[in-house]
Amino acid sequence: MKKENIISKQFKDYFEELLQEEAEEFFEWSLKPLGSCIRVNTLKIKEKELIQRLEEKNWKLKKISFAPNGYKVIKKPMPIGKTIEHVLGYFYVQESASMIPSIVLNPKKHSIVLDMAAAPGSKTTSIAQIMMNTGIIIANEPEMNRLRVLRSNIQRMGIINTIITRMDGRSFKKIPQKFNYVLVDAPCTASGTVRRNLHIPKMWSVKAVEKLSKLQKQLILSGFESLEQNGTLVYSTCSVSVEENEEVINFLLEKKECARVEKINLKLKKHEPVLEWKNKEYDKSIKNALRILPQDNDSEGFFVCKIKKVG
Amino acid sequence: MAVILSRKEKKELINYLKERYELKNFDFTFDFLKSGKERVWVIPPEFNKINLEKLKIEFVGSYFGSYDDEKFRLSVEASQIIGPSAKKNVVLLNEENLNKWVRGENLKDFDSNNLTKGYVLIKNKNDFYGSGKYTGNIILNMLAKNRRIKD
Repeated sequence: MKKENIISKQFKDYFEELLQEEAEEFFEWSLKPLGSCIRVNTLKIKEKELIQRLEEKNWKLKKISFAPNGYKVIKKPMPIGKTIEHVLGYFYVQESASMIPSIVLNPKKHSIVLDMAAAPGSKTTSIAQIMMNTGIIIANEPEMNRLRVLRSNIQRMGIINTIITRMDGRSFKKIPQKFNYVLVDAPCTASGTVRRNLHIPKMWSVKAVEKLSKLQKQLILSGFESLEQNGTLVYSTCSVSVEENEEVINFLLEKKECARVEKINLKLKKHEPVLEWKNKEYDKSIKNALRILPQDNDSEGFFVCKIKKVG
Repeated sequence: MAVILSRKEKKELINYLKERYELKNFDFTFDFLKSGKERVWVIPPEFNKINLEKLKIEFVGSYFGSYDDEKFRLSVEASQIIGPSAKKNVVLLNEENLNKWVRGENLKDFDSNNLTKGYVLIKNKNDFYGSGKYTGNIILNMLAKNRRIKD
């Protein structure tokens, strides 16, 4: 299919202005098919054992350098959902870039964690895996019709440390329970996920970006206010527009003096976060965030930022 | 309305499971929640750390199984938790029967040694696939539809 038939003028103009000479590469990569990745569920099976089993069944897998337990599927003999190991909950199908927020959050065992927008459960289940099923995760999902898939994935992966809630994420600032860790994987325009959904660039609009940016600012503020002192918040989206990412972090830093952006040490290719956009300068510490475009690691585009609540 | 299983109910359930599957060296360190009359959930062990005020809770923990006329049916995950410690009422499937089981079919031809009527754990190699009802000659497939493989 021709690029012109998939990418709308608004999408093209926005990302040409943002990415300039790299825009063409971004469009090209956004239209390349995306392979599958899996995360081994070490709560149920040893990584080595599962990989050996799958390879004996003619799967070809390649370890993802930055994601413990993560593998790119090079070859599979049948659809993933029809494999016994999937039914048993021995692995989770998850895009490699989507594995990053939980890795960056890296909660300690026995922590109290909030996953503010949890469905379908890829990050909740990986957080539970990191915590070895200890502590508590409040897996929140405001939309009723997404609760079923969240619950089903949590069950299949053998997660027992979750409480599923259905609340507006903006209301967490009002609850008495405070959290050691908060993940705000915010609803977004998903401009980083074109490889998975070619309808996105057609439906994408600046108006939608602006609308979601307002919601994202409220969500990050609510998440930050529900953090304990010295707690850690990770903000992420699968969008690569500035208003949904750097602008949101900058908003929080302006509102909360006790918010500090922390450096993320992961071995992967990335782009520099945007510190100046539409005549506005952003806090320089935002340079510590991860801005990932599809061409960086042959993945989806993603934005991830780690923020500490200091005393 | 969900309630935490009373000490007596918990003891009865554990004793039943220990006797039914001859569980050796298995320690039930978790508590259970019951919703309605039948369904039982494993509660997160650190549940009491949480201040529940203003939280709109939909589900807690992991589905463990449900009470019925055959006493108690275990979920796939519960079978994976207790299965490795079970010494009886475990049916070991060959590949042909496993393919039938994961597609929702009842089983007719299997090794029925060590089985008594009622729920039995379904096993292939070291993997556990939930439980089925052994009637004396067949095993009725109880695998939830969302855990089956569809052709």
